[in-house]
Amino acid sequence: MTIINAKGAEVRAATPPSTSTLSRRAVLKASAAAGGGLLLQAILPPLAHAAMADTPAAPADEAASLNAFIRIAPDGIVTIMSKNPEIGQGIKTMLPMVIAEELDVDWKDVRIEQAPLDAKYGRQHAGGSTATPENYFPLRRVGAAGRQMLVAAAAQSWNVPASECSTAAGVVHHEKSGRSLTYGALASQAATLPVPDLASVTLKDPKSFKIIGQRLPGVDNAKIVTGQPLFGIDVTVPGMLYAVFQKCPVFGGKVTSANVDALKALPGVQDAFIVRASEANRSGNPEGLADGVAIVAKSWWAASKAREKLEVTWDEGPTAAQSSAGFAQQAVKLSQGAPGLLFAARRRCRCRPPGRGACRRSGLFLSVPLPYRSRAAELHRAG
Amino acid sequence: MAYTIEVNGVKRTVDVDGDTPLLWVLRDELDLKGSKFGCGVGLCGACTVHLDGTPVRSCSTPIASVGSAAVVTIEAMAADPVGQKLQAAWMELDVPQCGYCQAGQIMSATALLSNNPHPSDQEIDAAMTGNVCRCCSYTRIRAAINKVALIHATAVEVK
Repeated sequence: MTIINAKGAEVRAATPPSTSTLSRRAVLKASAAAGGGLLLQAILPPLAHAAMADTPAAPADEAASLNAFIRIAPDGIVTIMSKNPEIGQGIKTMLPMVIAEELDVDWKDVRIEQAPLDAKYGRQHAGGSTATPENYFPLRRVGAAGRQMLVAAAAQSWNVPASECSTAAGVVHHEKSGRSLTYGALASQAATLPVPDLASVTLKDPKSFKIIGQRLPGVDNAKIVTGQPLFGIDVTVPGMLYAVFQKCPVFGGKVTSANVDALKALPGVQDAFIVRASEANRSGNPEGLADGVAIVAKSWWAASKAREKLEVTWDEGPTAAQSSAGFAQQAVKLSQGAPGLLFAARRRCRCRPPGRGACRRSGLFLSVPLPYRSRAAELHRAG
Repeated sequence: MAYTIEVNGVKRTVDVDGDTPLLWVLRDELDLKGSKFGCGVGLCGACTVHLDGTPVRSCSTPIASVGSAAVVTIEAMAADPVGQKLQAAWMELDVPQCGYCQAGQIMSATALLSNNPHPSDQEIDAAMTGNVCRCCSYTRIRAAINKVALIHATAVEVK
């Protein structure tokens, strides 16, 4: 099976993967859209992921999920849902580009909607750089299937073979008779036709790409430069409250006591309570819910101000004595006793074991500190 | 207590504590979500607004200190002659990546060009140094400011 990787060249892009995995579980549904037009929904298995791992079946936790959602309205506007979170990597613009290319529509007629967080969409996360290789061929097939249905609808109305029809910028043409119909005009009729087999649709020759390969501006730029609500922090819901959470400064530490009753009496504060983490989180999950004190208020500012009045006694536990200096000392000690731990250094140059003097060629000492991994707050766009 | 401030040309009255930062008044009381919360201590510039034309960090500007000063936010930049040019340049050069800091960037850039229509690169860097961008869109930000500065220069010369 050929598959495009994260740095895949056009040569490989021109060679679609075998369709056996795709045809096994992929489902394309077509229906009439509310208000007229065509609604296409594709439920796809994580094809490329499985292929890249060279395993016959997808991992058990990755069920087939709703990966594509396209609406073609009678006015020709094409709405494409983007399911992955946008955090500046451009995925909200890029995934719809792939569909729009094969659908053969003008990018200016495309509107993009951010999918809400919902289990039906499968994995919705940013990180790992796999969204392009995972989605490139499956989404192209979805777009191509939509195009094929619109061509079929036009061929049916003109009573000509579909093979005599061509498409460009959201219009189906029949050159022999000089006739044309827009996707918008064809969408409702296309919704009544049988859906093509995703595995057998014809993909474009990359040489004829008009959208893929172009530098298109981010779809949210207008909202960004005018300050319209867009990010997670901009979302409000009825009755929304705001919370701050004070964790123990030491990983694995617990709350002995906190003045939660006094905090509850502060202006704007709705609740204050001690959070107790699971033993599993205390001992080995730095990303899980930690022990601490939560303060819930009518505004973030009220919650933040209340935190200044927080009086808490921590049981910092056995890791309280650890420090960066201690880790560094430990690393030096281990590197002398067990050089295998610094495998990266050994692979580069084997002239001396790490920790036993400078490299004979470069004259450099090499040390590779491996601190706890850190995790930056990610600001997912919500709108 | 009640404070009446002028925001984007409109008098608004809010009932909050005097130490409430202007940022939270704008975001949570007046539902103007364009100004962003970044660091909360005036170090990142994501919350930048204008106070009588001067860029300030709204996260560390208490409402009680605003008085009669005119507060102008990113939401009003489309009506500002310099602001709208910068917005257009931002779009044309595809400046934003994640976009979170860009409202603050545009507010600082608008204040700069309103006072100094032809800044040097050094003057741009000096004016923009308080606005950090985690995506590092700095070179495009400077290019967009330069683009507008050149438009300014032409317009002035034609006169």
